[in-house]
Amino acid sequence: MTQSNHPLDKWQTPDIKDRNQRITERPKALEIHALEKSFEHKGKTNKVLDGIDFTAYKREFVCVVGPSGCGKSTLARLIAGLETKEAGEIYVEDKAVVEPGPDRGMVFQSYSLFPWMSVKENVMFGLTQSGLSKNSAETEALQWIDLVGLEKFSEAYPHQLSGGMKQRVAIIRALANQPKVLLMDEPFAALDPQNRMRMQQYLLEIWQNIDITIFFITHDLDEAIYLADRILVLDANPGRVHEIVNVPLPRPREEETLLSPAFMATKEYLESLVHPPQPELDFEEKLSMVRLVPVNAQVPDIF
Amino acid sequence: MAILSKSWTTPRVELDQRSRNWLTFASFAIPILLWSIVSYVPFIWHPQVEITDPGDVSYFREGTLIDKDIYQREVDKILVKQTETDQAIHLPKGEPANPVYLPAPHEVATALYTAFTTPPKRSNEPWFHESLGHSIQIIAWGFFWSMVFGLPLGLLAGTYDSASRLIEPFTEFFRYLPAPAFGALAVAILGIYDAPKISIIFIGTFFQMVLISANTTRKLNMALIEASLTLGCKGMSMIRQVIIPGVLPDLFRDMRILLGWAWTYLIVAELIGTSSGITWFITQQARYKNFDNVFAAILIIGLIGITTDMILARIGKRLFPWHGSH
Repeated sequence: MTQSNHPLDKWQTPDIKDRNQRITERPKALEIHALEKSFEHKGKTNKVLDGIDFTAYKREFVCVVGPSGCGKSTLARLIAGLETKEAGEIYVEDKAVVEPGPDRGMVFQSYSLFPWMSVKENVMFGLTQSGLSKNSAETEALQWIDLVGLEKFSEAYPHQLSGGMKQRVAIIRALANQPKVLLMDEPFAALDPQNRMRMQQYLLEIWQNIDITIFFITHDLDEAIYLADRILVLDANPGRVHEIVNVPLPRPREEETLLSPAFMATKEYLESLVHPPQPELDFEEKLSMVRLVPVNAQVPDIF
Repeated sequence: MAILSKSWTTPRVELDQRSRNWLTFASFAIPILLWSIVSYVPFIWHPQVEITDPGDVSYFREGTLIDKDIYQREVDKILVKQTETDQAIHLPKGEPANPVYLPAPHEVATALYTAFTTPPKRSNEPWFHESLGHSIQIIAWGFFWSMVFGLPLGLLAGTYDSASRLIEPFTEFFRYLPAPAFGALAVAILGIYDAPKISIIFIGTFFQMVLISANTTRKLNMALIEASLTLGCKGMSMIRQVIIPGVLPDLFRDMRILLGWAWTYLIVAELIGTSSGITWFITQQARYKNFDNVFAAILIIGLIGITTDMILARIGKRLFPWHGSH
């Protein structure tokens, strides 16, 4: 059994193991089989995704991490149907993905709210697209806005909101459509750390209360560990599944979770996967070149 | 205080309100000042002499403008005659003047008013304001038809690559054909009255409009289109609900710029067939040597242009409050 040698095993308490076990017994929400995608750049084909296999279960929270260029964004866009796949299959609740559709909501890193619509109209947009009448769409939209505490801003326009508020609206706009999978492509990357923390808590709270599978792309390992049930770690060039890590943290997760030894250990482990040790540069030698430049004598050397 | 404050010479730094007002004022004041100097300071330029007293020169009349050297020649002739014959002479007198085609600012300023109050020479000719109204009508119709056909094509070309390939190459070619070159053709097909003039404005703006609005549409943030796709919106519904409202503020700004182009085509358009509108007024006044009226008419075109643009800019701010601050 190679599993017993896994460095995170000692943190997998029976409770957590049991929980993870139960997740995998749920119906499949998202299935990816042998997915391939390459981009052409200046005549050179660059394989960004090479044979990705992954299954996410209902109501699971999956985070995807990997070095930059591993195609994690592309993966989300492929699931959304915004890119065309080269080979392989994607199923969302056993339905093959061929084009973008409301069963896969997406939240982008850049605020993609419609600037000419009020918050309420933004949230109503998907609902009216699916054929709901204006009135019932409005009632439903207001409930969602209420859920994220923006009831005072329902008539405000996106340019009047802060970054965090905009992303909250983007999230409920996607959720209002009742998608089966919510794809999030580094949604909090542009927020400051405090806001990001708050948004993560918001997101967990929403996720716990509704029936949604979340597929969350991030480059922030803390964020991935804090949020995810399982973390999909990708390799770069070409993008392959490196490992799927079960996060050994109980739920619900609090702010203190970020300081727990289990969290630290997971982070250290992920760090080693995502950023493998680099050959050290000979910094001393480079620095000696810099020292050829005269140093201002008035500033004493404190070293 | 330094003559130039620091913010004036730092690249792309926003100025304070006072400097801004000041520079806007100066931008108009400097050309007017130069014009005033040339008009009112007698030793600057003034290549002609306005006769105040014809003296012994038979063909001089009070008020006529004579080139300086001719004037001098006549004066010399009389002086020579005096030394030869010893008769009593009467020297002509005059003051340095600018040629008739450069009226002084105050003359143009009065003409700005009198152009409207002077009745036409013949009773069947239009008043100035009627000419002006006619010109505005030509522009409005030409521009209206451009928008009716140009904007939908531009939006399509900006949205779908296929439409862009189909529409833009020919448009790109046609835009280099000078609109006035179609004048004779337009008259042959559409007669001599307003229709050919409108068609010149149309040809002058339509092709630009297709290309510019296609470009503007292409610049719409792709994330908005993708977001709407993931929300289940596509096809015509997307064009109507996402693309059009998304690019409307920028299209509005494009239209403001293109409207300026329409004015530049106006003069040529109005020379086609029967001369009409403000161009008719200008050529007519130039024929009578009322250059102050000519200047006034040209200035009024500028004033109409800048005021419509300012009004449209205001309207744009009102209509699209979210724009420029996302």
